[in-house]
Amino acid sequence: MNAVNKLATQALSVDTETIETGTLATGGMASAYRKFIIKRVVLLAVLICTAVFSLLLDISTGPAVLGLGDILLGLWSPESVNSATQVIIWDVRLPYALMALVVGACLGLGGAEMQTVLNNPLASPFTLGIGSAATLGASLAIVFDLSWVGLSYTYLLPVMAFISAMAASLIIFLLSRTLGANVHTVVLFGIALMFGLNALVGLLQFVADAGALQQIVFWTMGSLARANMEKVTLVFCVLVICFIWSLSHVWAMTSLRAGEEQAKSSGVNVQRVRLVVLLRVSLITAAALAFVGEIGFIGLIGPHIARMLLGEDHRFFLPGSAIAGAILLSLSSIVSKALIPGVILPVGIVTAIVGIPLFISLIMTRGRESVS
Amino acid sequence: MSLNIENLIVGYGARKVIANMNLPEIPSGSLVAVIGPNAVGKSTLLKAISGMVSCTGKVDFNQQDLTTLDHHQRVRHVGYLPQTLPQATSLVAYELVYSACRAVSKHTNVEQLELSIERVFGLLGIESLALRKLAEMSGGQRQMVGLAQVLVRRPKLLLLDEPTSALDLHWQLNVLQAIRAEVSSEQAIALVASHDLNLSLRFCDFLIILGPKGLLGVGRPQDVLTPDALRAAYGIEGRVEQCSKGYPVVLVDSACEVTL
Repeated sequence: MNAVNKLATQALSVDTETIETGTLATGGMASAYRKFIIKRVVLLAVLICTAVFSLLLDISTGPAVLGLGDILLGLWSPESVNSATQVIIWDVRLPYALMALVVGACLGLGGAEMQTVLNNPLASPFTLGIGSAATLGASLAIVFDLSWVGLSYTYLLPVMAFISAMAASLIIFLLSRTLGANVHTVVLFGIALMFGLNALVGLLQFVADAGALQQIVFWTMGSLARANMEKVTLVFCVLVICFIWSLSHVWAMTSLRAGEEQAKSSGVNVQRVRLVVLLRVSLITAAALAFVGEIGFIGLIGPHIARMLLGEDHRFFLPGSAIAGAILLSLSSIVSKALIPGVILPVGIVTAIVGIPLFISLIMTRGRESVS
Repeated sequence: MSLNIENLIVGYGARKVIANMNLPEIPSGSLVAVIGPNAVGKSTLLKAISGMVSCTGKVDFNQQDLTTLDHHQRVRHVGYLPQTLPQATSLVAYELVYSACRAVSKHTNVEQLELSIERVFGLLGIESLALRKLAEMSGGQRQMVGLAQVLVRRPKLLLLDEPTSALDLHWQLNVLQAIRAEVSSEQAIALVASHDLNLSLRFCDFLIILGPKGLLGVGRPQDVLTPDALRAAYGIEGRVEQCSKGYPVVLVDSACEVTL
């Protein structure tokens, strides 16, 4: 008898539950969805605040001790602090810290788009050899001393890196277009290209003299130290243009997450979206890497963090990945200065050292989720 | 409104999967099952009509040759449900369906779209899945979401490739009833590739039976699904009888000797 009662109460409680969800849905699925995405808007705002905080912390980190108060004062009214502080803030640390944010955002955004159009969570701007191509360009400039073209050395390297990265992307782009841009073709070409380019860089290293070799190695470690406001502005412009451009594909990319066939049957021109996005990712990656050298893992981990926090609606996922990338590189920049006092470690090394454990922990949480 | 297929030829490279298929006119409001064993071109037929693979011949729908339209125009008439389920992603069902609609038409009336999504989720009885992540759903639930994504555009020609392959009995019937209702109310045409002969017999107006040697029969289920057709298509000895409620059912006795 007791058992029957218990069963009856259970059935009753199940009933009320279904009724509740039923009314919720028919009473406005759209408004329920709007409530659902408020959380994401809030999270995005939190991410932006974190990025700003990280920027300030980055500026305050360094050999000369400056408090957060000094920094804010120095940024707000440069005249009210002494000239030494002014120089440290405006000429040394601000470009450096801003470069970290801007480059991080570029790599995060590029990685997110790449992961979506290649339908592969392991894709990043380095997957297709764009990073290796930038290194090859820089190495060529270093080894063959191309200063005769009339550019100063500070700009020759980035220009060569950029041209080389774009050329590599163009090769992938053209090959994919002629052979049908399906995911496997693009990825396989990218991997082949990456190994080929790495071999060429190796060859250059072999023939380079000791000085040039050192410079190439330094480039592959990635460094923010060459930053100035001009370069920051340049990369920032590319970031803004690419971000606005990417907005025209947010719906197509979101629908692509359900699978290529599904998107195609809704009428999305998957191949064209894929090619355009690849072109954009090449542009943004080449621009970012040209000034800082090889900085890995940001383009891989930034999107993963954004995906966990914000889901894969690309209206949130793309800006989220950019900001997550910016925060990651900014934090790496802080660590690179703080780890050994008085020494600035190449930030590419820090992102790898911090990035690998972070990446493994992300994989492990994901693994647990899919098991349960 | 009707569907006419004439001289349809579809092939991958040199291999012709469908060699010169002609179908009698299919009137609007009909639910048609495409049945047959594996690898006889059921999916290929649906893909060719939808434009997912290229074909030659005529596919007249509503006095318009679909093969002359580009992909973007074609999907306005045609709702193709691929056999592959939607991927398990962290998207929730609602935003997947929403984004798929926004991706193709730039100037959507958002309010109208929200209403159509709500209508389709109601039609399929999956309102409670709207805010669930696809990664947390079962295969069957994802299949329902995929179907919702197709139905939301209210296409007049539905091409559904095994829409019930991942579903349990309750949802199989639920889906076929929903498709049946949609076809009747919209005066649409639905072609459904299926492996379930009894479901096809029960719900469909017409059967298209494909065998290893091509088209075996088109027509009313009780007329074309004969022991001979079963033998030619599937290599089985079977019969179609009436159950105690009067519905036709296929009973399979044995596999034939296969001569290769």
